[in-house]
Amino acid sequence: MSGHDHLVGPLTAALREAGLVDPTVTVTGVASAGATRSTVFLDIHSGDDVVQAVAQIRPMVDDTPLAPAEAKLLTLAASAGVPVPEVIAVTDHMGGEPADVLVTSRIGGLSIPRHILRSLPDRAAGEALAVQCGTALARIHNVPLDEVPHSLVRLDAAAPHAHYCRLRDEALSVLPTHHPAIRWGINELRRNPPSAPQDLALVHADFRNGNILIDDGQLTAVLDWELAHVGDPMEDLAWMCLRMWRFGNDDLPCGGFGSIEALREGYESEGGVWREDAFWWWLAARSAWWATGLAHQGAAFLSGESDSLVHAASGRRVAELEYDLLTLLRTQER
Amino acid sequence: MDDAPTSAELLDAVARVLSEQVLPETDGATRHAVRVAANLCRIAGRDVASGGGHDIDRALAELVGQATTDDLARLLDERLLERNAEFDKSVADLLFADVCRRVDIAKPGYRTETGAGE
Repeated sequence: MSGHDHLVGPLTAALREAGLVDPTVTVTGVASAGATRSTVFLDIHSGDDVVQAVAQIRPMVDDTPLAPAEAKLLTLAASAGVPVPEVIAVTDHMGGEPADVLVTSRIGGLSIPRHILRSLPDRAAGEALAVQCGTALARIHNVPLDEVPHSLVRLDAAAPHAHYCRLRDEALSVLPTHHPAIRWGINELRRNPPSAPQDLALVHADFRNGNILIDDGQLTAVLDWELAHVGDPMEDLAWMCLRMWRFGNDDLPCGGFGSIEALREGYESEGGVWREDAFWWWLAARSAWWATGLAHQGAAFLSGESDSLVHAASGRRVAELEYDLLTLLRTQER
Repeated sequence: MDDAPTSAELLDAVARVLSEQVLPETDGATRHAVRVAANLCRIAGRDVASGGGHDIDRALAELVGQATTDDLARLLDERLLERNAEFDKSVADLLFADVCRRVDIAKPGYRTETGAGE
């Protein structure tokens, strides 16, 4: 595919370094391409084999590549029985320039949320998928913590929720704009921490409709491990059920396709411990997180760092998440 | 005295041109940008037409001990950072009213759809 042919040489060299025998690379498509990062589809020919692959190419930030940690997490998740792409190569340079590159196998399935929702024939199929999501999350949470990369953020085991509130306060305070409703929400969260988890766990932190691949109703891969950290496992179960991932299907809180009960059933079937108070706390806490994230995007537009209209629109979407946050907290108070 | 069409009417007209005339002629990333631009014009139009949340702002300013609403968000944020439960309680309903006002501008109907977790 023209426009990305310049990637072929550096990717081929990276794959050779990773141990593939005389690889040849063809760029077959582009999943997303931005100014600084892109995701491209590849065919990798090596010997008699042809492997369909995906290369994520990101700029190196602070000389700290994300790909090695992500590759390690994918390997650990696979060992735990979580459906994930297979790691093919990791490299910190492309064509002599620093770069953060992860090449994995390409797995079939739908990733666009509305396509996923349309592909499910009936409610039972959605419920079955929610069960599978619960199962996958329980397996992620079972990954041995002593094996996860040291670069991951680790919440304070003695007071993970207070630690999380501190992080949220800090992220809010560095903004040039002020958001009292989010601050109010963080204060409420801090005053009303939920029960503590028995143990902290590896948390994917972005497991939702949009970061999973679905093929014929089956969960085929869990993607996008960039936000993974060590924290309260209930964070993952709540994030999956936030209103914005339901795409209008509010009667099906789990990703717009399943019930909370089905998600819980899958989670508990693999030994996961469901804590209802923490589920509600994290629904609100992650609403605060995303409200702040949108405010950061809006701030990038305000500062001129970004001229993206989408980032301008993000600034005006903060109110939606503030509404969700305050509604959740006010509902809990009653 | 105001000129006519009003700013709100102009923004609405621009949004309609973008949605009805420009959008069908575009595709890919441009189509997405046009859709976002039309939506932002509608938001700006509703914002202008709403006239602002002066009553809520004035009531909040009173609670932070200010005679004016200048710099209100920053002042409120500073008070909230003190984490005084009584103060937080005193501003809770007004903050929620302000959020409702702003979400009605940003996304009408958001509050009447089923809420999170309900």
